[in-house]
Amino acid sequence: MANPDVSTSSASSKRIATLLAVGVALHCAFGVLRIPHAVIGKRVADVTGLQDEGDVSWLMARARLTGAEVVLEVRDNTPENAVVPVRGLFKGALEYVPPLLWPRLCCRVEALAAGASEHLGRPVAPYVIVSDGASLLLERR
Amino acid sequence: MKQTPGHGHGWHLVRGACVGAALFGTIAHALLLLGLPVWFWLLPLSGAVACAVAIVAARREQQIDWVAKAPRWLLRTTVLVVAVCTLSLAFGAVATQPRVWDGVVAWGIKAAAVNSAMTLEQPFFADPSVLHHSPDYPLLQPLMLGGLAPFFGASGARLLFPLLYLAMVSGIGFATMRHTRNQNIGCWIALAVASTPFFLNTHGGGADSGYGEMFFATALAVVAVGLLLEDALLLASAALVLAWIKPEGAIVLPLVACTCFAFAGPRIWLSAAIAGMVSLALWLPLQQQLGHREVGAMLPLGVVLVVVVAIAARAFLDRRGVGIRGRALVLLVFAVMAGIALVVARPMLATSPSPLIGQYLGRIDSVLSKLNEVPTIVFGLLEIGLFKVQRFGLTFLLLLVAAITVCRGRRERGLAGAQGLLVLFALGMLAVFAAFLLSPEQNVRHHLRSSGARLLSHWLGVAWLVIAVVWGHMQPQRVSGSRSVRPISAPPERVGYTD
Repeated sequence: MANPDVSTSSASSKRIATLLAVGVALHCAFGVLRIPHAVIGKRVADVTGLQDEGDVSWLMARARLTGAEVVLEVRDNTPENAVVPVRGLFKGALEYVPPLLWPRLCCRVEALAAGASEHLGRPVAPYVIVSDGASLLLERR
Repeated sequence: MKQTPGHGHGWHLVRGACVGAALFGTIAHALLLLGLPVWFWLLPLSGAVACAVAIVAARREQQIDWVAKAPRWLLRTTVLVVAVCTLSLAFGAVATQPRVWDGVVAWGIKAAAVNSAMTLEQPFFADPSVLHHSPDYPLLQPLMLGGLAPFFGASGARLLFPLLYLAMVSGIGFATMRHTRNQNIGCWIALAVASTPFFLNTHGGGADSGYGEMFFATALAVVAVGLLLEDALLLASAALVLAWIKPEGAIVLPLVACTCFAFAGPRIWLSAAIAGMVSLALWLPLQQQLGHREVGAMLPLGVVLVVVVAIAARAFLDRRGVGIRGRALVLLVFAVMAGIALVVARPMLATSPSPLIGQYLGRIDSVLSKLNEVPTIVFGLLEIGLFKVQRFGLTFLLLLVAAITVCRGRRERGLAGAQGLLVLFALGMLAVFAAFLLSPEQNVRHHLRSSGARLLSHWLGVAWLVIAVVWGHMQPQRVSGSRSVRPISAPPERVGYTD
C-alpha cells in the first residue's frame, strides 16, 4: 500500500521542480531574446559613439556634464608629465578630469606653492581648472 | 550512467585560475605593504601555478555517477549563448577604455597608474596633493590589469573582464553539475547565469564597464561554490581576494566567516577564518596608507586577535559536540555583544581614521534619524530585486521560491548546502540594508538608484547556486533500470555541511 505522505511529498517536490524549471526557462528566454539589442546593439553604438566623438566629449556629454573643451585644451597645450592645478567641487565634472588628463597629474591649487612652476618634480600647467559640479571653466594662473 | 565527466578540464581550469589569482593577490599585496614594486613576472608565475593546480586536480579526478545527462541541443545552446555573450563583452572591453562613470574615474585611472609602474611609491598613490577619486579603493583589479598589460597591451589586458564573466558562468554551471550530478540542471543554470541581464548590460556594473562588480560577484560566487562543494582550497582562494577587490569585501568577509563558523565543518571553517585573517591583515594597513592616514598596527592586530579567539571558540564547541544550532546561538550572542560595544564606543568610532568604521559604524547615532527611511529602503531593494527584470530577470523571484522550499524542508539532508548559502545571502542582504541606513548619503532614493542594483548584483552567483541546489534536490529522477521516479537526495560522496 502506498504511503500517502511520501506521495504528497513527491508531488510537492515535482511541483516545485516544475515551477523552478519553468521559471529558469522563462528567465533564459528573456535574457537570450534581449542579447541582439541590449547586449550587442547598444554596445556597438556606445563604442562607435565614443570612437567618433572622442572620449572626452562623449563621456562628459553622456554624464550630462559640460566643459569637454576645457579638458581638450589642457590636453593639447600641456606636456604629459605636467601637474594641472584644479579648484572647486570635486563631485561631478571634476571627477572626470584626472582620468581624462592622465598621465598628467591633477593637484588642488591650494596644495601648490603660490606661483610655483614645479611640483613633484614636474612642470605646473599655467591654468587652473575650476568646477562648480556640473561644468568646468579654465582660468589662467 | 558512470563516466568520466566531460566538463572536468573546464572545472579544474576555473578552480586553478582562482588559486592563481589568490596567489598573485597575496604576494602583490605583501610586496606593496613592504614598499616594494610588484614583479612583472608575478602574474605569469601565478598563471603557471594555476595551470599546475588544474592539471594535478584533473589527474586525480574520479568518475561521477550522473543521474541525468544534458541533451545535445541544450549543451550546444548553452555554449553558443555563453560564447556570444563573452565575445560581445570582449569587444566592449577591448574596443575602448571604460565608458561608464566609476569605470573611468575610480578604476580606470588606477589601472593606468599601476600599468605605468607597479608600485605605490609614485606620486599618484603616495602624494596626498594628487587628486583622484577614491584613493583608498582596493587594488587587485588594477594590479591584474597592470600585470597583464606588459604582455597584451592596456586594451588586451581588459580581456580580464570577459574572462571573469566566463569564470562565473562556467564555475556555477560546473559546480551545479558536480553537486546535483545532473548535467541537465547544470546547463540550465549556466545558461541562466549567462543570460542574466545585469552583467551583460552596458551601464555601470556591466562586465566590461570597468567597475569592480564583475570581479567581486565572481569571487563571491566562488566562495559559495567552495562552501557548497566543501572545497577548502577554492573557498580560501576566493575569500582571500574579496577584500582586495571592492571595499564591500571587508564587510562580506566576516559574513562568510560567520556562515562557515555556524554551518561548515572544521576544515572549511579554518580555511575561511585563516584566509579572512590574512586578507584583512594585509589590506587594512595598505588601505590606511592609500588614504594618506596614519598606519597603525592596531587594525591588523585586532583582526588577528578576533580570528584567534573565534578559532579557539569553535574548537571548544567542536570538542563539546555542539551542533549547528548551538554554534549559531553562540554567534548571535557575540553579535549582540559586538552591537552593544559599538553603541558604547560610538564617540570613539566616529573619529576613527578607518573609512569603514568612521563613515558607517561611527554613524550609529544617525540610524535613529533615518528610521523613517526603513520602508523606503526595504521596498526599494525589493523593487530592484524582484521587479527590475531588465537588471536581474527572474533571479530573485526564483530565489524566493527556493528559499521558501529550503525553509519548509530544513530537515532534509539534501538541502543542507542550500541552507548555508541562504544564510550567507540573508546576512549579505542585512549588510546591504545596513549600508543604506548608515550611509552618510542623506537622499536614500538617490542612493538606492545609484547603488541598489550594484550591491544586489554581488549576490547573483550565490542566488543561482541556491536555486540550483533546490532544483536538483526536488527534481524527480528516473532510477537506472527502473521506471519509477524518486527525488534525488544529496550526492553520496557529500551531504551538504558536516556538523
